[in-house]
Amino acid sequence: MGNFGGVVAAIVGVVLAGLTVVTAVNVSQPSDAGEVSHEELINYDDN
Amino acid sequence: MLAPVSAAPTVARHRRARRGDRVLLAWCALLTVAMLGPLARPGYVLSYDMVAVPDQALLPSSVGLSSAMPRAVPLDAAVAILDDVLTGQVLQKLALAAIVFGAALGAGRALPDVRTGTRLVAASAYGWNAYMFERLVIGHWPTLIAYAALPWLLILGRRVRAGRTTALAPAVLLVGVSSLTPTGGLLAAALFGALVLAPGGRQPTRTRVVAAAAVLLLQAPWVVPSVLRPDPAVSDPAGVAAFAAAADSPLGLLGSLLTLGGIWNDGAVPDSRELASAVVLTVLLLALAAAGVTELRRHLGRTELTVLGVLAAAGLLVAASSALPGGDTVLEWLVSEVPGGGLIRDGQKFLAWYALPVALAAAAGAARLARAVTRRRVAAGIMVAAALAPIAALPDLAWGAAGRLEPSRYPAAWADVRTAIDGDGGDLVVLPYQPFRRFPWAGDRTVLDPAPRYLGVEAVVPDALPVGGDTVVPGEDRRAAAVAAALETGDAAEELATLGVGWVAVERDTPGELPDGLLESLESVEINGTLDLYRVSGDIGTWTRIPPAPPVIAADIVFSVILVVASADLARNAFSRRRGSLRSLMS
Repeated sequence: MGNFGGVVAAIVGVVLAGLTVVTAVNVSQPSDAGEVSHEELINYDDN
Repeated sequence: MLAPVSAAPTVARHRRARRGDRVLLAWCALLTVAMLGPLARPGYVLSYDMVAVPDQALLPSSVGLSSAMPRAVPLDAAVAILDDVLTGQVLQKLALAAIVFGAALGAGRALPDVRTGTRLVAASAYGWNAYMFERLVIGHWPTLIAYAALPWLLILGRRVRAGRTTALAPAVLLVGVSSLTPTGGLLAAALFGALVLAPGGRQPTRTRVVAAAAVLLLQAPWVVPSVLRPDPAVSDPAGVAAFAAAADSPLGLLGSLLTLGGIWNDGAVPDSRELASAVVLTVLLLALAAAGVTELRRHLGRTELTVLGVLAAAGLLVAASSALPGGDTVLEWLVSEVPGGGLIRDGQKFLAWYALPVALAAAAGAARLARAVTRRRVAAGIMVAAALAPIAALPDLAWGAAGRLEPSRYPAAWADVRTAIDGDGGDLVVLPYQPFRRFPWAGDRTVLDPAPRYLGVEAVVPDALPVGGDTVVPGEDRRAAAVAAALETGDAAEELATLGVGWVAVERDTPGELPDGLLESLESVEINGTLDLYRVSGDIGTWTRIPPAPPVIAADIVFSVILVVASADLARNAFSRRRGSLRSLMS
C-alpha cells in the first residue's frame, strides 16, 4: 500500500506540476485585453 | 510528581500550536505580497468601481443626503474621515492588504483543532480564488471587506454560542465595518445574526437580543436614506439581465459559479479561467471540497454547518437565479417593485457565503486524503500541493492581478482645479456626462469617474449604466436624469443653474461627447487642457428632493455610538485579560 500510494502520488504530482506550468505559460501570453476602442460611450464592461 | 508528567505534552502541544500560528501568519503575508506587491508603488489603484483620491471631502452626500441612491453610504463618510489621518493612498492600500491578509488568516483559523497544513489549505482556497480576483478587479473592495470578515464572524459567533460574551464586541465591530455598504452589511449581518440567534448555544437571551439589535441598527446609515428618499428606492428591471451572472469558464454557468467565478462583467474575468489546465486544477479543488464535507461536520458541529450550508445555498441560488426557470421574472419584480430590491442584481456577489464552506471543506478534504496515505512525506506533499493548487489554478491573480491593478497618479492639473473650486455657488457636473472614464495616465482602464470624489464638492453623477454596447440600464437619480436632459437642450447653462449646478468640469483626456455650445456660455475659471473648470453664471437654484437630514444624521450617530461602545468594550476586555495574565505570573 505504501509503495502504491507513493507511485500514485508521484504520478498525480507530475500531472499537477504539468498543469501548473501549462496554466502559467498560457496566462503569460499577451492577450488583446489592452486594446483600446475609441467609441464615445464607455461601457461598464469595457476592458 | 504527577504534574510535570501530565504538563509535558500540553507544553509541547502549545509550542507546536504557536509554531503553526507563525507559519500560517507567514503564509498569509506571502499570499498578500504575491497578490498586491505592485501596489506598493506610489499612486492610486483605479479599476472599474474602485476609486481612490488623495483627500475625499466629507459632504452631505457622504451620508446619503443627496438625490442619488446611497450605494456607498456610509463608506464615503468613513473614507473622508480616515483619509485625513492616513491619506487616501495609504488608506486604500492598507484596506486592500487587510482584506487579502484578513480573509486568508480568518479562513486558516476558522477550523478548530486541525493541523497547520489544513489551515494553510483553507487560507489559500479562501484568499486566492476567482471571487477574490473578479471582485478586486471590478473594484468592489467594500464587498470584499465583508468577505474577509466572514471567517472571523464564524469564529466569534462560535465563541458567543459557547457563552463567551467578550466575543460580542469584536464581532459587532466587524459587522459595522462590513456594513459600510449595503451588500457588505447583508453578507456579514446574515452570518453573524444566524449564528447568534440559532437555537442552542450557551449565550444568554440578553446577548442574543443585544447582538441582534446591534446588527440591525448598524444597517441604519444606508437603510434610513434609502427608505426616506422622496423618490422610490427601486431600480430598473433592465439591470437584472445586464448584471446577471455569466459563464466565465468552459464549465458553463453552474460550473463557473461552483468554482467561485461567473461575474457578469467579462472585463473582470481572469484569462486563466478559459484554460483547460486551470479548469482541471479548479475542479480538483472542488473535488477535495466534496471529499471534505463529512469532515466539516466533525469540526464545525451541526449548528455552524447548518448556518453555513443554508447561506451557501442561498448565495448560489441568488447568483444562479436569473438562469433558473422564472428566475428573471421574480428578480425583475423584486428589483422594480420592492424598495432596496436592486441589491440582489449582480447576484454573483452573494457567492461570498458559499466561498467560506467550500474553502474549509477543501482543506478538510485534503487532510482526509493525506490521512489515507501511510507515508508521512507523501502526506505532507499532498498538503503542500493542496495549499499551492489555488495559486496554480489562478496564477494571474499574482502581482496585481497580472497588471490589472496598479497605481496611477493624477495629473497635477486636477489639484489646481480642486483649489480653484470654492465650496459655495452650486454643485458640480463633470463632462463628458457618462459614468465611466478611460484615462491614458491610468492605463486606459475603464474606471468610474474619480473627479466627483477628487474635487471636494457636491456633484451630480450620471447613474445610467451603459452595459454590453447596446444596453443602458436607467439609474434611480432623478436629478442626474434631469441634468442629462438639460445638456441636450439649447439653453443648457440656464437649465443647469435651475437644477443647482454651479460648476462644470471637463475632462479632456477621456472619450466622450461634449454638449454643443454649452462651454461657450460658461465663465472660464481654470483652463489647462486636461481638466478644465467653468462657472455657471446666474442664479443657482437648490435641489431639495433629498432625504430629510435629522433621521439620517440620527442613524449615523447610532452607528457611531455602537462602534464606540464596542471598541471600548474590546479595549476593556483586552486590558482585563492582560492584567489577569500578569497577576497569574506574579502569584
